[in-house]
Amino acid sequence: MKRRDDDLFQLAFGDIRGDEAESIEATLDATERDLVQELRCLKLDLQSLPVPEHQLSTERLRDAILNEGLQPKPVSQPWWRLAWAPFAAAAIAIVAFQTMNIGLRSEADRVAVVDPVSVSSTSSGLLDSPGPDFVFRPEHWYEAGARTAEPNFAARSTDKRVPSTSRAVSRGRSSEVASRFGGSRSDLPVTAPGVVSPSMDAVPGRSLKSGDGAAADALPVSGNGGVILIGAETDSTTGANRAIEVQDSRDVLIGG
Amino acid sequence: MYSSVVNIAVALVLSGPAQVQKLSKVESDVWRSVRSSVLVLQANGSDRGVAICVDASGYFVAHKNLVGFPILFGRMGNGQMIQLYVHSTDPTTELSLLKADVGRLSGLRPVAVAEEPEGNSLSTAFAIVPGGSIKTEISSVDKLGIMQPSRRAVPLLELRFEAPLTRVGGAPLFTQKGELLGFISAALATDEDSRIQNQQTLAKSTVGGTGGFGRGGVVQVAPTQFGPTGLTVAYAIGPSAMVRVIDGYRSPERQVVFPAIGIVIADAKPTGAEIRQISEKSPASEAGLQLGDIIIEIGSQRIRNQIDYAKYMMRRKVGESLEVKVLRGTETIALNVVPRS
Repeated sequence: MKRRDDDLFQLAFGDIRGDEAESIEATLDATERDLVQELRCLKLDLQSLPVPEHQLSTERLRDAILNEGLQPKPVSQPWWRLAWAPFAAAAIAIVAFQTMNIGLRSEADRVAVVDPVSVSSTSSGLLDSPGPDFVFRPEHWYEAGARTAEPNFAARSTDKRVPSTSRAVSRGRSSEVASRFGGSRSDLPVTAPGVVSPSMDAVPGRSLKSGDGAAADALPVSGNGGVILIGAETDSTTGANRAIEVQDSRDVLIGG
Repeated sequence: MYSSVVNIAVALVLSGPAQVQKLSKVESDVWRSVRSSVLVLQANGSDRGVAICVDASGYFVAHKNLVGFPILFGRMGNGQMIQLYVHSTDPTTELSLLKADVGRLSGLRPVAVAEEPEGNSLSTAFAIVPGGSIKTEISSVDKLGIMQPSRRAVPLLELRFEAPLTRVGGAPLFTQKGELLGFISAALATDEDSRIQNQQTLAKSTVGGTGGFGRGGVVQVAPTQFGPTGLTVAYAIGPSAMVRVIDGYRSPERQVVFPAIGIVIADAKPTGAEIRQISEKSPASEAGLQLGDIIIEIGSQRIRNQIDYAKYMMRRKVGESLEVKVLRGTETIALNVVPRS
């Protein structure tokens, strides 16, 4: 029976040809004929799927494995050929560090111009909304947008020692949001050194917990204080707007 | 072995897009029960999504993402095609009101809005798409969403679909009884690049790498593979907001109103919500609120941060007078503000 099934599969998938195929086909009953027909349709469907060809037969699978296994091995290099590497790495690091410092300062200035909080709007609604060229970036929800609107921002941003106010922006959160969306540190409006607070994490969080005051009982509260930021861009897979969940909402700006 | 390979291939084919077309019995039942309340939207010769009937005189609601076409048609349950135009769009929820270009339509049943689901119980819901309905699990009922670009807060339901290839964006969400729960407005990003970056980010933050994220794992990673199929995490605007939308679009003004006083706020330390922006001629500016004021109380409700404020305002009404207590320097000042829409 097992052998018969294998014959039918091989016949349907074209692995048996010529006389042998004809002889098997001649002995098919109605059920087997339907099965073979169904398998042939399946074969057509499979061709539209991104399944690697070598997964469709044992022979091709074997060939694929052997081909992978017989790659030429890299030839080992003498140690002195790599002696220049540490010096090159150190030089690149120094240049990159200098470039990043300059880039971050200029980026902070640029974002101060385009951030929706600092842009005056012609909207007729109560809340100003950004212009049509505004692109969804999660950091736009963050406190840094408002901070860039303050006149002394640039001056304070050069002070690397002390946070300018107690509401300085956490470097950690901003970095993470940027990396999620593929941005680099230089994309961030919040990375100016003066507004980074290394001690921010030590401040006790004020997440909303049940029993913590009357508000928590009266209102629908996310257990950990997290919020969902819903962007204006549409996800091509789902057709829905792109969303991210931020577990710590302290730096999120809300209108209302 | 040959049979096993083919069996896997069969499973692959069956778990593909075909599952969306093949409805289970309960999905078919839900689809039949809501068919007279929904309209399949068509543009440029193909189905775009679904609108729901809010008024038998020819008014429908659909998500903004589905209606941005110059010429839009709707197919009723009885097969009748009608042309639609966008009457208005609510900027807070991004739900549009559509008007049919004909008079009263027969065979239409306006939707009823469901009650808010219970807090701790997982329940089932059904997203309505042109091909029928798709079952989904409500994994959370107390999420708070911040919409871009309005920055307005809306209550959200979190949903989990085992249907990664389905375009569920903008789909209305119904209970098994055929009552409207909400509209799916967003989904966690699912593209491969974002996923890889998320995992790298999370790995750095949890194994003490150089990421330096402090609290670690701040941003939730979209789960992508829990079973034989992928997973889509989506968010739907919840019933409490839907009641406002449906009531607003059914009103003679055909307008949705969410109360606002015209400010943008951030968290303040040690407590309260700091005003970062005030719109001109808004209730806030007319009441005398100023930039830098820290809201600590509204209508006897203590405000610990901007989330408290947003959630409080979601339950207020336009025109209702609210006493706002703010910290200005070392002074505590009480002001009366009347929210508008």
